[in-house]
Amino acid sequence: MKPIKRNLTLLRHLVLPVLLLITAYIAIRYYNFVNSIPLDITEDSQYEYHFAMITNGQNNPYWSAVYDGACQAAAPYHAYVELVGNNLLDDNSVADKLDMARYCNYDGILVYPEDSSDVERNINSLVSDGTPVITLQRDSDASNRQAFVGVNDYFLGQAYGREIKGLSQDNFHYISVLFPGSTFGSENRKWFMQGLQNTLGSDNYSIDFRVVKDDNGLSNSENIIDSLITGAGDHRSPDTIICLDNQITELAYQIISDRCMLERTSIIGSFMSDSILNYIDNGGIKFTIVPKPGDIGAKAIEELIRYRNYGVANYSSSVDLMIVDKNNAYDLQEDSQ
Amino acid sequence: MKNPAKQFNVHHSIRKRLIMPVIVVLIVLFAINFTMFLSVNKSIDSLNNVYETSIEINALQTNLRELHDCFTEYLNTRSDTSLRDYRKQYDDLANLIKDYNNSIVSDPVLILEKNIRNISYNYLSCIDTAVQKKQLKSSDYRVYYREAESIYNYLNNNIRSLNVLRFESNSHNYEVVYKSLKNLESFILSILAIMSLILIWIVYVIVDSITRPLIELADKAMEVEAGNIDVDIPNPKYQDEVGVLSSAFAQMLAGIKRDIQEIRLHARRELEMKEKELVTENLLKDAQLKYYQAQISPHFLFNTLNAGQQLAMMEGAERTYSFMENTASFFRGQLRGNGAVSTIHDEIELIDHYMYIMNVRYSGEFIIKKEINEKLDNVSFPGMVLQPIVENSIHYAFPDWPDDKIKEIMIHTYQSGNTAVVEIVDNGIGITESKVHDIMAGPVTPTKVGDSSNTQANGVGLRNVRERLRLYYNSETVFNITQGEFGGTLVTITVPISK
Repeated sequence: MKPIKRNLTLLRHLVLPVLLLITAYIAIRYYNFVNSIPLDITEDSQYEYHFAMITNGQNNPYWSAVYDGACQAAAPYHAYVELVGNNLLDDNSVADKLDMARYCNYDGILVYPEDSSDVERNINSLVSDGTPVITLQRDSDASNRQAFVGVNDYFLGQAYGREIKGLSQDNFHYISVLFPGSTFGSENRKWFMQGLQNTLGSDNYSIDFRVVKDDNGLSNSENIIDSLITGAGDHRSPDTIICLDNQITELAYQIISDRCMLERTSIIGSFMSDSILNYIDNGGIKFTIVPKPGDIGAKAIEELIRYRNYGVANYSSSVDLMIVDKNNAYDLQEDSQ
Repeated sequence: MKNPAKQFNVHHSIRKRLIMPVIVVLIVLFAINFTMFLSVNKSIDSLNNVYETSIEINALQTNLRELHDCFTEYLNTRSDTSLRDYRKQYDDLANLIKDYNNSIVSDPVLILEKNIRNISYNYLSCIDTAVQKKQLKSSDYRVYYREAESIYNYLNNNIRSLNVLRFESNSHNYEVVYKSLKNLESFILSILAIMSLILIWIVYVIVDSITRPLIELADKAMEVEAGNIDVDIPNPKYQDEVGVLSSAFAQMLAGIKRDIQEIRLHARRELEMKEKELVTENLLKDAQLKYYQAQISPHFLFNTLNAGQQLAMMEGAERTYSFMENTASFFRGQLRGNGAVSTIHDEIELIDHYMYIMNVRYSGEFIIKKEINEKLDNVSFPGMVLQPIVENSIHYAFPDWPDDKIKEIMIHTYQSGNTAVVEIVDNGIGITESKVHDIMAGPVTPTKVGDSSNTQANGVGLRNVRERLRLYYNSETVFNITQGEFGGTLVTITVPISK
């Protein structure tokens, strides 16, 4: 009888704590649930500056990385960087975004400029309105932009040349460069080709280029790549195609892989998207060369802040280049995910 | 360390002990429900906000479209109506826009609001300029119109985007609110269930704490009913009504036990009293018998002595007359005092008569000395107590006493506290310890009156005196006999003055 009585006494003493614990557990669960998903927009911190970043590919992982670098660099200065167009329904051109930016009263603009007079004009309008403009990666040196942060086209050509040399082809090598016409103007193309040719030399390498034109969102890149790999005219198909745009790079891979010519023609790309990283990882694309995205964003913000504080900025700032190949493609894919 | 909750319970009535936990649980329930209702209200407000923000954005969009239409119409027609409408729409848009966010924050919705606000103000400025140019009939208004068209498109794009973002945010909010309401329902039910369990448990514990001592008390009462009054009633844990009842029952039992003990003690005392009464009665009967036996003789003697006294007076024999008078007074006193309540004064007077007779008989051998406290003369005193002591001294204190030595008996009365002390001391041979013991503890044996062989002529001995005093005052210390300080025998009688 005694053990039963003892057990009952123990039970009586345990009932209340157990019930209270269950109540507390349920209350905490409910509280956590209610607070896990915020209902309203809550903003504790306000910023001092409102900067805008304008590109033609805001959803691209590369530009996302540039944007992240810019945001990190802006935070200590209490500056907020808005990726223009990220939340807009209509995807405007860089020129239109720059035009719209005039009416948004930004404190500064980072822009990846297209090679067009509209872009130049809008940059000039912004600058004349008192909004500093920093060009990213590609320069618009004809405009009144305050600073450029990126890699000189000559150095970029040299970098591609060094990497191609490293592939150690013994035989004569035919290389074709595909320039996106919207971002590589004639001057840019000239400097890039100069850098590439000076690095590779002309003994073992034959280099030519094609310009891919963009006509209201539709390009002629497919025709150009088709004609290249089928060896139209007196040309044979190139041993290496250098694509200086992510769309051209992805399209080249698609066409060449469809024709099972990846063994015959190597693809060297530019930028990095999820698809490009995936192709590099599976060996379809040899590598791409991009300016280090975080550095570009950070340096651009530094220049903006410098301009806002002192009224001057470095006319041109260089950043390091990053080779994306099979060694780091997977890690970068993981990072972007 | 004492449990405060238990301490709280210890001094509260059953009603309070039942009501307080229930009130506490109800308050907790009320607080929980109140919080829940606040949460529900907040959720409902959020749901309302979903619609309000959508309505606001739609109003902005409509207003912007109408303003642009009025603006375009005015530029095309320059009519007063279109200008009036334009002004109205202009002001409306300005009013709508002023509440939009103007802070630099990281939330995409708020930053879009800021952009819309800035673009709107730029748009308003642009169209205002265009209208002014038109009013001034300047052809520049076309430049501003085209710019306004661009801004209008940007603004529309931003407003539509805001609408979508708000919709996404509101959809998300709606989902959250819906989920939280569903969870709230489960939460309230769970809390109510648990609170009910807690309440049941508390009521069970309290009822158990009330009924358990009652059951125990009932068991003890049954034992008492069966005749066992030595049951142990445990101290009650709580000083509530049951605790009071239990304490009262324990006190009642203790009272019964005490009463029983007192009754037993009284019975024993009564028995002893009856025994004493029997002894006293025997002694009295004995004394009475003696009294009746002796009554004839003193009366006869008394009358005879009176006759002799008159004869001596007629013959002029004064000494004989005096002797006869003292003898008559002695017998009178003896006749009065035997067995009755007297006073110290009467008793000492009786001794005086007795000593006169004895000195006549023994040729004035005995000297009686007195130190009397007259304040004690009227103190009650049993009759025929002192005379036997003096008589005892005359008979036993001076055997073979030399003729040249005085035979002295001293009577001393004084007050000691609330008692009157009578000391009778002689300067005789004193008394042995065995005799003292015999007098103080020996049995009382009645003597026959008129037994001439007995040296105690009046038949009342010292033991008789001792016992009479003991019975009269119900005290063992009233009579004492010792060796005197300067020899002789000292008898000390200590009686209460109030008696």
